Amino acid sequence: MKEKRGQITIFIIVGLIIIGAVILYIIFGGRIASKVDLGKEADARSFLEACTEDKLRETVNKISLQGGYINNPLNKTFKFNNEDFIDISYLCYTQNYYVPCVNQEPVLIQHLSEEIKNYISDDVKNCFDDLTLNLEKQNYDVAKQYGGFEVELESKKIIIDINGEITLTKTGETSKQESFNVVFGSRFYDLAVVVQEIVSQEARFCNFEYLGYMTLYPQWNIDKFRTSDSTIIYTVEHKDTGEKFRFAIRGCVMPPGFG
Amino acid sequence: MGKSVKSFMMRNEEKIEFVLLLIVIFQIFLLINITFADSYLINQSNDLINNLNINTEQGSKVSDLLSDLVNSGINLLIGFLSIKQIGIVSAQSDVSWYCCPNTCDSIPSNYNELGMSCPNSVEPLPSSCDAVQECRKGCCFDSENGLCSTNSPRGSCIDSGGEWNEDESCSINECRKGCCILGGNAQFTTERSCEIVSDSLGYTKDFRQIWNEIECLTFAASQTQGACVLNVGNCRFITQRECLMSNGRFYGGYLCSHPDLNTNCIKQDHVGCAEGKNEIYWYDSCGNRENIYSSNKIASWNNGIVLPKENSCDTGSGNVNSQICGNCALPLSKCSATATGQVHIQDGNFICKDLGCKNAPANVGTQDRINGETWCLYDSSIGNAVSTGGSDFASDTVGSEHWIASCHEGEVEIDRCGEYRSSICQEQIIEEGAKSLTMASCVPNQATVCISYNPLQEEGDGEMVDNDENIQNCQDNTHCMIENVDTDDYFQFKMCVPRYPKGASLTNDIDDSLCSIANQKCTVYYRKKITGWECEENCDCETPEFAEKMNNLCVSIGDCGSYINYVGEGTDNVKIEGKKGKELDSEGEEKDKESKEKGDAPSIFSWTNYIKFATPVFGQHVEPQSIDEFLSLIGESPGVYDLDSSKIYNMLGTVSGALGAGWMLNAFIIKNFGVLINIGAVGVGILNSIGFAAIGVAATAMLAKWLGISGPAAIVMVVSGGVAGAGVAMILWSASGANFWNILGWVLAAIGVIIVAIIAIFGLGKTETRIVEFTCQPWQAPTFDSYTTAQNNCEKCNQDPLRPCTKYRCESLGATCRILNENEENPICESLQYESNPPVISPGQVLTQGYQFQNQEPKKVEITSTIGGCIQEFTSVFFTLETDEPAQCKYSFEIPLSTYQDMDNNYPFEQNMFTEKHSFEIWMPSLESAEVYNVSGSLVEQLGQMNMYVRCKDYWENFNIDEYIVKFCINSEPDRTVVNHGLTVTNPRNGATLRYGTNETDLKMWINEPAECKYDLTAGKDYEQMTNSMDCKIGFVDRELQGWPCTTELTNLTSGENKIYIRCKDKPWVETAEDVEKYGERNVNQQDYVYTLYVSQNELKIDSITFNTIPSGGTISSGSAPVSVNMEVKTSGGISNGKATCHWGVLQRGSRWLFYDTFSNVHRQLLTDKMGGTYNIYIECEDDAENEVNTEGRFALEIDSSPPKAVRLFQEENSLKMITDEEAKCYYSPSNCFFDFDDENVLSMTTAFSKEHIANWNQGQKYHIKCEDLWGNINQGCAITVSLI
Repeated sequence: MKEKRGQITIFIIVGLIIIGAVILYIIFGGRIASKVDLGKEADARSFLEACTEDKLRETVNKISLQGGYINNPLNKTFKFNNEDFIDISYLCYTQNYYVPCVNQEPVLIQHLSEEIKNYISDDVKNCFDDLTLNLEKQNYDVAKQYGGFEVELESKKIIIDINGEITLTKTGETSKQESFNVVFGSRFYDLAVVVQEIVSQEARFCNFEYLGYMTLYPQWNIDKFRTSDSTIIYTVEHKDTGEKFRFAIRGCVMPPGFG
Repeated sequence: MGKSVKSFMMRNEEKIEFVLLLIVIFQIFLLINITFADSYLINQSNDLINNLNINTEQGSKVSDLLSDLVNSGINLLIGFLSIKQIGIVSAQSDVSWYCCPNTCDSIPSNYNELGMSCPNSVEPLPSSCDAVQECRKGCCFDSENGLCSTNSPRGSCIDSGGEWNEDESCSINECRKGCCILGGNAQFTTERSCEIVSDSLGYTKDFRQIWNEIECLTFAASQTQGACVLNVGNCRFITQRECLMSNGRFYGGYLCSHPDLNTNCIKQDHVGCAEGKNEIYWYDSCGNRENIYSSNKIASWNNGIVLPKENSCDTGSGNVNSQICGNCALPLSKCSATATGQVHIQDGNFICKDLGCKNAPANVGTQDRINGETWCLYDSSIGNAVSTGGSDFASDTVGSEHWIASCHEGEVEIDRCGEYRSSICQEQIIEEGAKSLTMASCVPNQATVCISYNPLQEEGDGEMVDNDENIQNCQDNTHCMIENVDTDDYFQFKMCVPRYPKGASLTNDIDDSLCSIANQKCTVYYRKKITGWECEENCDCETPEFAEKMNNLCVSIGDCGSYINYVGEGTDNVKIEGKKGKELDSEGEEKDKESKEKGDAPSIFSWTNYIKFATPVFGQHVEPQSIDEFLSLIGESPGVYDLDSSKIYNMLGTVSGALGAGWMLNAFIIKNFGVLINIGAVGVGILNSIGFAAIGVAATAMLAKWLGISGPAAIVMVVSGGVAGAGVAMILWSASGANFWNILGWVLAAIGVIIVAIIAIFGLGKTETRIVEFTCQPWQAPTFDSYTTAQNNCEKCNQDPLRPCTKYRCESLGATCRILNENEENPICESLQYESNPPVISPGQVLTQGYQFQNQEPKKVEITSTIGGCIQEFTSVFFTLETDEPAQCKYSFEIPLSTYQDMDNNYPFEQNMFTEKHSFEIWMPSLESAEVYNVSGSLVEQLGQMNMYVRCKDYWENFNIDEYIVKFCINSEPDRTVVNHGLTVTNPRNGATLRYGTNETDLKMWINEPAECKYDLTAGKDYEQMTNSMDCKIGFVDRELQGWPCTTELTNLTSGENKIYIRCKDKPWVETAEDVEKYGERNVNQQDYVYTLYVSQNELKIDSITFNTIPSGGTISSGSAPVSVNMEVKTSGGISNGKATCHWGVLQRGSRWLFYDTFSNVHRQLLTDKMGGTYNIYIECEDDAENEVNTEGRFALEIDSSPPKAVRLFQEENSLKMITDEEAKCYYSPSNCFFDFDDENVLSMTTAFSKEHIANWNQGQKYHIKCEDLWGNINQGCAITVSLI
């Protein structure tokens, strides 16, 4: 019986822990930082990397599948098999017949950087705040200054360059850290380069020879889907990582018959 | 140039079969240029629509009707076509443009009516986007990343930090792509991008001036690699340059496991695939790639020396699934990791995977395909076929589409070429013995271009003679064919028709097809003999042969006539009617009396005769086009099909991905077929000529015209204003400058001429003509009387997983079939729900001013004048009826039989289409004229109160049993009105200017009632005093679309203004006093109709032609190709100080394209994608008075893509002096050849571009010298290396 009491106590404790965890999750669920547990030493970069990664990847994934936008009224709502409806942005568009599409985002990489930045700006700031909170929990006196951040897209990586300054004081010693570069492995930039090439050729030639491109550059898998309203939806995928970018174009459309 | 590429070239000095590729490329050109030309044609069609007003005094109302008819059809089309590149079209046409500032997309000014708007509800700017600075299109260079975007708006480019240039094609230096070496790999990209990517990946920038993508990738693969010993025991297998940068010692051609290198790397530690390689490799213990895998380890290791691929193991067939050899070979195989249980090589879980596609779907059955192979799939028979009676027709079925299939690394992918067969699949098959390879591409369907090759015959010396040029053009174009209709001796003609007709929308309210171009009347000649009337000529027009041949012509136009859909179900959509002709006099001239009998119309040729054409036919495919025009466009001589000059190869290689699959297949093809077929299928624009866009609507409207007066069959006969009239009318309109209409007009008129000729041939005895009239209607999908049947038919569209259902395919299966969930990957075709209610008919609008609907009842309505009277004689009244659901309607002037099917096939303007609006025209003659011309029946009584009975049926074949009645009457007062010259139409139009030097011309004038007309050169003369009579047709059935024709020849025209004064005298049947008593006096114009013609006072001239501001004949230099060249032509003279329309082409006898910027006295065109060579440009200009001037411009384009060469090196005093072969800037480095000019330790030998370069003479120093020429060509490595020992 005594053993059973012990078991019941354990169950109650476990139950309380679970309930507490659920309450904490409800309270801090939206804040990615709550999942982060700093080590003994404050490693700001690792913290920020861990803190921002999920949101960044979620954002990049969302942007990638929506034609480079979080929200763009110029889009094609479409549903691929086994997927949900999604608003896919037109990166090249004309509503007229017979003419090539107009490039809607001629400096695509710059746009993508800004789109990511806009979408994760609150989260990055939260992460920065959480970083200082964590440091304070480790008995540091923390002075911080947050000056925003930039998103840089480069081949094989995405860099979040946080413009901030943290001054730590503990047991009379002071250290200062500024400019936090967080690097994530990603083919997003390389995808964007291929996407820009496709858009450019579509705007010029009304076509992109994707089979040939895949042959020359076997790391890419490109799918071209023609919808019934003559919109073409491209999906570019990096074979090794599975990262995808999907976008729509509409140009050089010919109406039925001789009209 | 890479070694392997060189070998390709060397082995192909003979003619090389790469026609398909070139044609595909040529489509790009077509895409860009045909657009302009077609837009122009469509723009001209706008004139036609406007001109349709001429048939009434109340033009605006009629215009509304026509506007309704063409709403969402023609206007939209005109709108679409005149945008952007063709701002010039807008300038001339009445269509104006607005600009969506957020998308920089032009929309027609009547965008609201057309249901268009700017995205995000942004208000459009009242201007074409071309005129909005922020929306000008050009090239956007992203200097941060070194990337270029074509066709980019200026505003969004600059706002995003880009650099904007007006060259839309991005043929600018910043966008020039070269070879960026990234370790053992390469990217074909711009120098700036190379810099960025190299930096990002930790490489030193290595940008090679290899301007061809294929060569770049080949170069990367062929870089010498070897062991790079870094420090004791450490080794990496890399390139010499990488090793140099890593400060290692390089042993070219050695493996790191070579014993002499004393590294820690142990040979053949494991196997694997390699990035950028296709083979299976051995790897040493340090992770360095070694030689291609062979189970014979000793042979593979090759004593630690690199073993070339060609000397490695080979078991044949790409070593597919070989367990002992990893020498995989594209396109057959490629290194691939294997899963448990799969066959693998003896020493690891890898295999040369078979990339081919087994049992891939074929047009008939299945076929094994090679990786990279592309082929066509068709839904039915395509192209020309032979019907049961032995005549040709174009057999693409309704709803069928062209598909292109590809085999890519073992997977078959199938894509639709384009909507409604706007793009078709062409392929080339190379066969040699048992080997066969197919390459395919989607190309724009040139169906409309085919029609523009007409007429194939023209009148000359009283007979029809071939137009050899048009015939040749038609024969040369593989998308066209000549349809011969040779029913009888005097019913023969030929027409150029599409070999692969375009599909038409099957549910649009407005038909935009050209079906009516195949409407024909055959005049059959009868002679009265003792035994009765006997047919003498054109008798076969009354036989089934006529029905078959005419239906074949009709089907060949495109989704017209009695034909089938792609599953073999069909409908009949033609009318063949016998009608009365005319009695002939002893001279063979037509009398005013109609013939005794109608022509004996044969039965229609049913769709069931074509069922077998729903099945695809083995071996059928679209043949590629000739490539001469393409060759000329890139500065190559026509007929030169080899790649010796590399010009074509280079041109194609500058487009990323352009050659892809073709390149990969080259080795395979050369190996197996001994030819190079570079058919990587570069982009295919889908654009095609759309010249006929407007015609469909207009022709449907015009040719469906009918005239309603009562009197049983005779009245219907009078209705036939006819096809020939329409043809003539088109010529009339074309006189105002629309070449395109001229073409079409002649197509129809030529046939009319034939008929006239027949009449002229016979002139003996009691003879008469009879008419057999063929009407070609738009194809309609089958209707069904049960939902189950309809649904079963619709579902046929959903049954092929590889070819998803499309709107076109779905709607061809049944009138009630509709595509659902179009915004999903697999749309579904389903039938509309069944209902049993017949259409409810109600009055629409009376569009002719002065008339109205009156006394409206549920099933009846009356048309009266606004003051309640009858319709004035010789007046057209347009009106519409509406149905509460889409319906097909017919009408009759007699009480019809009880069912819809049994009614005569008299359709409203919309013909047999299912619409909710149905348009009619009533045209009333005078009572006395009807009586005089002996139109049978009690006309006076009937015309006094006429009923038009209308019945309509819906998709489910429900129809109104009780006819809807439209009542009206004709004014019974004697005709006291003169010819109304306010309605007169002329050709040439009144006020037109004729070409310089014209001194005579034919004048044709259409008046609103039968009359005799005269003209004089002096104003104010009475009719009787006028000296020149016109030849006027006065018969009841002579009325053409615009009225009764009068013709004459005007002579002695002089330069400047020429005026004549015309008056007419109506009621020509009033000849005797008795007639006067009965019908009243004839009405004579008391005022002149003043007709003025002008003759140009100056010739049209071309003053200058320049290319990039260099006068014709000059030479343009550039450092890279392709190059964009600005051509500018200036004209003067003509009727408007040089204002003209200019076209250009590259073959003396070839296509002509409208200048991008014309309709003024300066004409500009950007000639893009020019490679080095000599170019001849043929220029043709014409002004509104048809003054023409043709000339030829020429320029040479020199491409200097070679870096400077050191041709001499010597000591001069205390200097090292170097002479280069061209002006250059030179620099030297003491350390190596891999330096940038702005590196710290690099010294300049030149102060400006020069052939002489000087450096200080430093004994013992090593000079690594590198130069750059005027075009930015820099030596790869060094121009020369000198050691002063």
